[in-house]
Amino acid sequence: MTRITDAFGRRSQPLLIACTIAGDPTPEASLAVIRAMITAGADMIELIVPFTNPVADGPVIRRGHERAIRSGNGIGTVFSLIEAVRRESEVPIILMTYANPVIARGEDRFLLDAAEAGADGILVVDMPPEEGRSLIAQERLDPIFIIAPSTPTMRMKEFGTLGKGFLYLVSAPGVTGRRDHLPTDLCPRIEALKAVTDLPVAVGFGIGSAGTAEEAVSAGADAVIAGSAITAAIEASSGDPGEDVAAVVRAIRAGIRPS
Amino acid sequence: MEPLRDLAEAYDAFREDQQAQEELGSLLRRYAGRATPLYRCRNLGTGSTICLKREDLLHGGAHKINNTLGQALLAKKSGRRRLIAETGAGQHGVATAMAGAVLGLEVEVFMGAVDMERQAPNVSRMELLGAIVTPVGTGSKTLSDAVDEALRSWAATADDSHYLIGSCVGPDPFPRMVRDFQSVIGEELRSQSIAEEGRLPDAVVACVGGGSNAIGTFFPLLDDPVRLIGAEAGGRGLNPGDHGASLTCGSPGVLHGAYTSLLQDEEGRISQTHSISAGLDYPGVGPEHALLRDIGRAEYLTVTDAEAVAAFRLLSRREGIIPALESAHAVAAALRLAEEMPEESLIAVTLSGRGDKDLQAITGGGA
Repeated sequence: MTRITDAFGRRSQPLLIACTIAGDPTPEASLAVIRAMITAGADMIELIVPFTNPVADGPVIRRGHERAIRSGNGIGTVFSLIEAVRRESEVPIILMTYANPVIARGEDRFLLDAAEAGADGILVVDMPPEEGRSLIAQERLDPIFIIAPSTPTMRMKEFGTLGKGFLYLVSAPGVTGRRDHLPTDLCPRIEALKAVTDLPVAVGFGIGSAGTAEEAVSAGADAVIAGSAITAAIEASSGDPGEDVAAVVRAIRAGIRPS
Repeated sequence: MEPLRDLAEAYDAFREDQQAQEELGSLLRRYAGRATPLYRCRNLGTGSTICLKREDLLHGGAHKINNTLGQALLAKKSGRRRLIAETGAGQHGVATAMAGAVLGLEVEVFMGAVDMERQAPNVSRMELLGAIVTPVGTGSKTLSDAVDEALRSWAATADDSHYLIGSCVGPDPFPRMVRDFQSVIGEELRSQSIAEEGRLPDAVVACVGGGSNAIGTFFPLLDDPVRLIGAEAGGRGLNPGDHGASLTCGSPGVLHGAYTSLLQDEEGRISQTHSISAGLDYPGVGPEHALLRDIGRAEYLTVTDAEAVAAFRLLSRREGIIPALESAHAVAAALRLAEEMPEESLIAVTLSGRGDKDLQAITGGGA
């Protein structure tokens, strides 16, 4: 049983997956951000590999990629951050990346290095299973697949079979970024997905507040994924980004676990 | 994925649709100005004969209209009401705006902020033609960032919009679709060369940024004994960041949904590029060019900014034809080949566009 499956198995309440770009704005601050996310109640960490052309991302995450790359962070930063977190926590870590950094390192080597650093899952945004046999063939990392609003039922079923850990349901067409409300068809979409898979469903894109997190959970999400709100807090932070990020994580968490 | 599957299906149907094909043929003839002449240069003073395939004479001043009319008609037939496009030099944006205007489709063009400055007259043209031009202010603020932004917009609006990609790049079916729409260049060139020169060319030369005019030139000649030569942007030289020579200096990778040859660092991050011509300023290249290179069917060489400018001036003075700076790369490569190839060789160059847009880069501080 992987840490991801285990976390979903143990849960009595919906989970919060908190995302940040590795090395945004510096490796030291990035580690502080991850620590703050864990302390503030994030159940899983999604760590994003900085990339020059993040096509699936909105402006906030894009600027995070630019900051991380400007301060010279590469794949080395990503792996050492995972190692650092793993030394002090058993929190599940999902590595999120675009395909090209994986291909450049060699797919097998990338996956092996990520697993050895301590990652539990891998999500390659622009690598469909047809092109990502190495993702499916290995057993050390849970391959996470994305379900878009346009994904037909047959394809959902396929992802349900090939994926492990959970499925990442995109709330609305387009790119990452916060919204005031999630689309009203989220509930039937989650139901349709759950009809063809037993994997937990995590909803991302557009969740950055207690309100939107609560909407996702009411629609049936097993977990919510927040990224842009966290990255925006890093961007706006004048002092310790950890504290600002913790406040955002706590606020979103309040939406899914009213105390 | 799903919008791409839908598009591939729609495109396959479009190819079989006799009425649509006739409409496209008619638009190309009566609106765009096909066929374009194959002109034999009179005054270049080379031992070989150099002929120019005059795509610069098309409506809009570049080969881009071949593709935009094709894709816009496909979009209309498959019920889309809006076209999205990226543009580098602005030529593709203008050609998309024209196709949108004539076929009654809305147009939004994404253009890097740096390119908008370099190609201000084309921005005015697009707006006059009814398009919305949206500046892209991230990354290097050039073509590759404009592609990113166009893809993002399409991801949110694929239901009612068609992404009219300007080159043979991106995920399937885009590269083959653009290749097919541009193949009219090579088809005409082939029959004109036989009819007017009495033989096939010994070599054809075309510039390669994304590579659409080159693939359109090469594809109909693949089975002929003709050397296929692509001229890439050698920029200021072949140091990283100084050029756009993805085939000469690149390595395999995935960008914008295609596995091809990319300019990238050892960790797979996409490199900054440079070329005096905005249309060649792209870190990737059409995947079919990477294949043609790998199987040895086509050759790719680089032409520096300075060589392109020299060819630009030479063609203007000697033949009275002002080429686009992109096309001037192909002219420069042909002049070089004319020195190397046996006397009386026949070299055909695709002159992909006209150079009015580049006057500022040549005469002003832009160069």
